[in-house]
Amino acid sequence: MPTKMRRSLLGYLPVDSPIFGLHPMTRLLFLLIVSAYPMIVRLPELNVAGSIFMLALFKVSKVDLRVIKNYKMAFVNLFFVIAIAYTFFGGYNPDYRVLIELGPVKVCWENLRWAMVVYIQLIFAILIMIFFLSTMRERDIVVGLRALKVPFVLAYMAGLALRSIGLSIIDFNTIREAEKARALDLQALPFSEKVKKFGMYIVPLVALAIRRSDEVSNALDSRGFRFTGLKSGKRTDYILSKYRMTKLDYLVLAGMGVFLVGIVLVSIYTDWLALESSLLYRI
Amino acid sequence: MAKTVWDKEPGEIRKPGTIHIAIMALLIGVGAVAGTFGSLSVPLGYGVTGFWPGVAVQAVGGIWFGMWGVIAGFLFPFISNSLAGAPLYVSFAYLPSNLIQGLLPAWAFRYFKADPSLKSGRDWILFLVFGVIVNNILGAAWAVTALQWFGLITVESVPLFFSGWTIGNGVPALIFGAILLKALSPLVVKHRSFVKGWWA
Repeated sequence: MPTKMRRSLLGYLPVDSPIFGLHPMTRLLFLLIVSAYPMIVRLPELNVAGSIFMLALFKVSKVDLRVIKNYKMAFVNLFFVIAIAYTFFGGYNPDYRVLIELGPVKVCWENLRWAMVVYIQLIFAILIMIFFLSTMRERDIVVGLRALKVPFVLAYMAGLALRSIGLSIIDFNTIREAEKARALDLQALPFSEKVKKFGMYIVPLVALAIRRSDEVSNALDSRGFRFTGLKSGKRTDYILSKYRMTKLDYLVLAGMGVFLVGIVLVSIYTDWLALESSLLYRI
Repeated sequence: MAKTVWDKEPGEIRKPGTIHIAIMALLIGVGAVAGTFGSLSVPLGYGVTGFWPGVAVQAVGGIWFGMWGVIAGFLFPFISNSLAGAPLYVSFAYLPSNLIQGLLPAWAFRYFKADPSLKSGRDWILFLVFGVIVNNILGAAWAVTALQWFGLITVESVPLFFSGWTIGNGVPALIFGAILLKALSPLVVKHRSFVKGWWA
């Protein structure tokens, strides 16, 4: 029997994924808190451990790992950009150890090491983002925001905006299909031509959005919505009532919080997480 | 002085309403799709791209829909950058850049009462200066400062990322921004979502 799946922002996730056992607010806070780790800690060993932890989390949450493959080009590209930015534009100091000299450019170990540190740090940060997008639905984000007591109008706008991305993608594909039906092969076109053709997408996309704004606005008005600014007053939230914070949520939140405070304190008061403690700096 | 699209009719009362919430949300959708297309096509890293059509939505959104367009313009890159694989806090760091890229043309068109349909040479010049050049230079300046502050790029590589951002945003802002303004402004200024002031 085929597994029942739920649509997430980046793909599909089995309904029996353990990640659905967590409250959407916990998952939203996961992004905000855990994303701070690689920004605070540069130590590559810790960021590698973080990346491995994220991959394990993908596995435990039953996220199809093929979703990471979609970012293969982004990872490769990032690698080249960082490598070029740091080796060719990394600067030179007489203390640096020169590995190769390419004309006036000196490729130094210190620059290359820094490129590796940054790349490893970004891999961890990107994996966190991919995990979030793979496990969250539009509804989860809205519920998460409402649970965090974000004003109703902001949470509602966030939901509407996320929904409108889906609508715009549908419109975008409709326009592409119409072009294909007229025998336009985009794949075969050079980049300059693709750019020109993009003008044909963006005008109908915006025009459709403007037309749809009337429909959405009328729907909001007919449901008695009023623009009251950020003041929302007391309101019953039906969807929110369907979710409960469990002991697991509190445990996960506490764990993330304690770890965040821990690495901040350790970074401030010790040099254990300093780059100089890394194996890369002993080579 | 000749009447412009920004002047209110006698007795006209303008208030923000649900139409503005709707247009803002829908602009976020369109911008995210346009932005993701660019970020995935010529990425330079950290969400900086050699060709980013989303900037056209920022400039045009600000001009047509005032602060609603500006807010949409600084929120949708957050989504499109995330979808393209930029880390969360790098996307946060770009918020001021994305704000200025929509805010500056919105201010210039209102302050100088330029026609969004780009009917005269003056309208074109204002669009070029504030919607293509200055806004993107300021946006790029902030973005590379933020990247450097995060320690993600070196001082020496600042020109590479600065020029990548400025050109990668400037060219699509010019091409798609002009196309959008010329094609849709006559329709938008008659639509109830059009914002003559900042909020309504």
